[in-house]
Amino acid sequence: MDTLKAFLRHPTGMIGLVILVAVLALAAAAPVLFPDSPWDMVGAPFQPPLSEGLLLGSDMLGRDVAAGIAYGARVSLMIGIAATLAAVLIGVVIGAVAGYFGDKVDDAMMRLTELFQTIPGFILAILLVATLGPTLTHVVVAIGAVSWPPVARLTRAEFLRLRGREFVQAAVCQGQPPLVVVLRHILPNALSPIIVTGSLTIATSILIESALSFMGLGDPNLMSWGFMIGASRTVIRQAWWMSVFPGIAILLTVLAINLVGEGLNDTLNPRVARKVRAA
Amino acid sequence: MSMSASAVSGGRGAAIVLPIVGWVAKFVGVVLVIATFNFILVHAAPGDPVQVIASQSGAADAKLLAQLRAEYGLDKPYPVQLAIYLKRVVTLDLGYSYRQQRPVRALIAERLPATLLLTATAFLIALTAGVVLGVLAGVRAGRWSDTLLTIVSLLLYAMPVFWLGLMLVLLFSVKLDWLPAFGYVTIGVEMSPLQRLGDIAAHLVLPATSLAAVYLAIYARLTRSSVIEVMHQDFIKTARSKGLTQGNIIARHILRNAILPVVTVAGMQAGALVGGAVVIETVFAWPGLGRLIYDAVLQRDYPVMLGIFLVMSVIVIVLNLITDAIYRLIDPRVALRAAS
Amino acid sequence: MSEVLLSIEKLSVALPKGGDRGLAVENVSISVARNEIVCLVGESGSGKSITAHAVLGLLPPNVTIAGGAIRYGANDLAHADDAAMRRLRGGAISMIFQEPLSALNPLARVGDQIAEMIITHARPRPTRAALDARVLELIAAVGLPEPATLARSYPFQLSGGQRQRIMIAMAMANNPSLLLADEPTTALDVTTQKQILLLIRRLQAERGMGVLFITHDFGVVADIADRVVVMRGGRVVEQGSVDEILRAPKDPYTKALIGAVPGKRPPSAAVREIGGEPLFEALGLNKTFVTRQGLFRPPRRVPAVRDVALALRPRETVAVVGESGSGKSTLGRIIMRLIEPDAGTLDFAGEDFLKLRGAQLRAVRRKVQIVFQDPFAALDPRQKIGAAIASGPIAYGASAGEAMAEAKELLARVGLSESAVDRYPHEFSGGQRQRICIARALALKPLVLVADEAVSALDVSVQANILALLAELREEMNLAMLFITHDLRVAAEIADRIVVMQRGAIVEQGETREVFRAPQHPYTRALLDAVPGRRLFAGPGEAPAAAMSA
Repeated sequence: MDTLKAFLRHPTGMIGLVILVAVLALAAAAPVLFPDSPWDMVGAPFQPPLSEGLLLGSDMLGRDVAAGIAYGARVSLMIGIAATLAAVLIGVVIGAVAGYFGDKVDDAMMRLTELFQTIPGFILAILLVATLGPTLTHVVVAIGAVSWPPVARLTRAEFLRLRGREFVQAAVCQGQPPLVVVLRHILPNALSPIIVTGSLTIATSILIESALSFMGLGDPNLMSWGFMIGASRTVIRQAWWMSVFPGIAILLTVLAINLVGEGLNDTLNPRVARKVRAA
Repeated sequence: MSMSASAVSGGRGAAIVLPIVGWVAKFVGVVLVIATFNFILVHAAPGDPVQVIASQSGAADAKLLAQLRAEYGLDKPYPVQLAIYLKRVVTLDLGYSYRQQRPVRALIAERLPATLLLTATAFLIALTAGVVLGVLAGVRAGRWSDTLLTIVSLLLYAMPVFWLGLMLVLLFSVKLDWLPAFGYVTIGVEMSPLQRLGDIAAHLVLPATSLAAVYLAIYARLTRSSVIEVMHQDFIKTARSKGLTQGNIIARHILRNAILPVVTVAGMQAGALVGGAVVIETVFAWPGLGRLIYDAVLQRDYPVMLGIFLVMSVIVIVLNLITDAIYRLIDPRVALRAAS
Repeated sequence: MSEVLLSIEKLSVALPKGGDRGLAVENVSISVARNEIVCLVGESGSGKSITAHAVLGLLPPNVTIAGGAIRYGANDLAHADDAAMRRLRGGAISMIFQEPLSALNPLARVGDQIAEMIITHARPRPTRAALDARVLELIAAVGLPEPATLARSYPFQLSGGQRQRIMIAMAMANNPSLLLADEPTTALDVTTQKQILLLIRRLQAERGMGVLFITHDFGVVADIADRVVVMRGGRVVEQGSVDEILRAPKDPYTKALIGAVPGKRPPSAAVREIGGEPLFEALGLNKTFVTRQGLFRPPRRVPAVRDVALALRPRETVAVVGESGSGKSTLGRIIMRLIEPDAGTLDFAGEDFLKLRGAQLRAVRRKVQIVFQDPFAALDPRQKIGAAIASGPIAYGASAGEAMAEAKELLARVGLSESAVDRYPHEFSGGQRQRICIARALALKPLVLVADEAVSALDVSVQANILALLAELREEMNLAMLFITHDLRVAAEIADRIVVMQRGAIVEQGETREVFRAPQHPYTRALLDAVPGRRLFAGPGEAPAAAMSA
């Protein structure tokens, strides 16, 4: 409760939250606002913004840019959240195992993590999607597969730190079984930095998804912001609005998530935040 | 103001040999793992591996397929196939692009310089400008210039690189017509070598800036918080108690200590930077590996895709080694600990 | 009294708004004369350190001088401008700090850091050769061997004592007339502390410096002070010559503080009833820590415990005494089964405790409980006090209601209100938390209590209370105690037997009185000799009346 109150008093965090809620509302209301499919031709092609019935103009095939943005919000948020859940799940398990058991297990896990961090993740994602085929699930899998290493490193560091802490050792001495020690004493104390990293991972996942779609590797059945920019980039000299508006949508969404993430960081880890913010 | 450093340099020999051995090991290890990864991908792809390698589906030249099958040992057990594949990689045989009718190695060699130029320039811009801006913001934390930097970096950090690239094109090429928007060099114009260099540089500005921007923002924010953290450490109090001016304290005590975490992160971000180059090359029609992989993806040209993945990973490792070396240069503890 | 160097007059220092008090320092007046050492003594939060930092204008941001003057020569340092302060800092007035590792720039050679001090102030700027020579001279003057090698070292390559000597060499670089020393020996081992105190004494006498020495330890005061100023809660409660203050303190707080110094009281006169057969007996315990340093480097091996044999009888309290790196804490954790030893046995009621696994281990484990050093790290910040105490018995099958009722009883026994069960650790002070930790350990009704530096992080008055509590509880609950400490004075208060460890091995053990009266091993003698305040506070081996205060 205290955390919630502190967050509500966090100015930039609140700005982020307001934008984010707006994006969520847009995603939810897309079928109401734009009953037609975003793939349908609704007007003449190349109509600039504020043309009749077309707030943000139309694209090369006469599709409504505004409708594309509304439906794109659903895709971006869905993929961002799903891929992050996958990444956090992989990362927390690997990090927790490495940090709790230490020694050789830790060594092996960290080598693996380091390797995944060395590989250019975006190229791996391209290869995975190109190989497995561009479907929603495969895009989520590909993004999750390249996004977990930071979560794993963080979780490991937290587990290592907490495992040596005296209150954890005291719990061991009290005869509490290992799983109870992990679940009741280590994980809750490691949770807030993981939540913060998770929220920032949603933002990077959305960016990766947009880049994949931009390269033509998105699910061809789903309208997405990256696809809209990629499809219209060759006509940017004639029709700037086709690329500008979806880009602003990505920018605002990612910015909002980052602001919320930072707000969470400041309220969940006040000590660290104060140290950095102190001037 | 160093005392004579020669006496310590005797111990440096061992300290430098050790990391080189470690680096080589890391290098070989990563290359082998990525090669294995590639191998798995070929087998995970839908269809017969031999058709994947030949980048064909459906009707293919039966003779070619049989020849490939023998060459890659595709009728043998997986471990043997893997060994054959690894051996090819180690001997720098990256296969043959049947789509382009050329060896992958030749294709990559042709495109590599442009990618190296782009990534190296972007890395350099991001690191130097990021650190400079971050230090300025950190020592002025709370003032308007600091706030401005925070806002700009937040925006940059939230932008997709390809979109930033397009917006720069829109502004500097389409509206202002200051800089070329596409390509590597102006085609069909006679130029002296110096003119050509200038022309390439002009073409480089937009892609390198777009690629650098995000990382610049990351490094600037990190440097800023690192500077603020170092400023609160005890040895800064010692420096103040010595009677040093603020400028001297920043130059002699804060800077070096504050850069260390930035260098670490720069090393970890190298992979993302190289990945970003793929998108940027696509946007700017920059004739590098990214452009090549984009075409290869569209055509499902596996040998090219996998070859580029391998080479790009090697570039990341090299960038890692460079940041590692920079770290050692700044922090004497690493080398001295290793030597003792 | 000779010429006054520094005169702090009615100084008040304001804390940022919203803190637990408005003024960190209130109306404080202190003077330091040439050629004298003034000790500023107080517990944490007394404002002693803030006072010293105010002199050089080194207060943290948001903390400001609210009133009064700091006169040094013709200057008022409370109102001096930045340039004037810079000339004084490191010139006429230098300062040394508590933690020498963090006080030195980790990335610069220590010789360069000393040279920087000279260059900043010497005009005209000395030549390279003169500078190098002066640096080496300073390093030699603080008693460090091989100055040329040391000058090229980085801080991490030096020991704690060496680093503090470097800090002192740096402070001496421009022949200051006033030295501010902020707890300069608190982070050091007792034998190193002794050497640093002697060094400061010697340099002060040679140069006729004035020294303002901040400390929390009356033992150190007894060793080094000419005059003493006692502070509490931001105010001066008493000042006077060292003899006046130590032998005839007037203020009740000063009396209580001096009274609380451990080792001053004679050990309990009653001969304690101790069982004959050992409760546990450890044999041949060995532990070497191995840190791997990457693929191609030989692992680093640090032997922490070497061939340790140790027995503990029922109701007996054994103090394991040693400096940092002696292996005493590792030993405690091996006995707790928190660290697995490389070799050795621990016979516990006929079974080898170190070999037990699973249910058998759990059955025996509850008989050995531990209280840790840092009461702030020892409680889960997200767990209520009641749950922290009760979860042990619950893990062994007690019902939640039963365990909670017992937790309340225990809390009352250790001097806290029963309502504490529903509160979180951050609502309690350090001393209160340590009481909670004791209650938690005792909830399982152990036979053995391991106290790992359990009073070391506490202020001296709190320390005395916790020691008294432990002494009562061991009688009530028939506890055997393994009391791990770096402080011989604390050991003297509570232990029946003392075990001295050095570099992982036991060098001497014996009855407490015997060890104090006739130490056998040279290291034990060095340790005893280094106990601060020996000339005022007697150990239990000496006739108390002779050295005790009147």
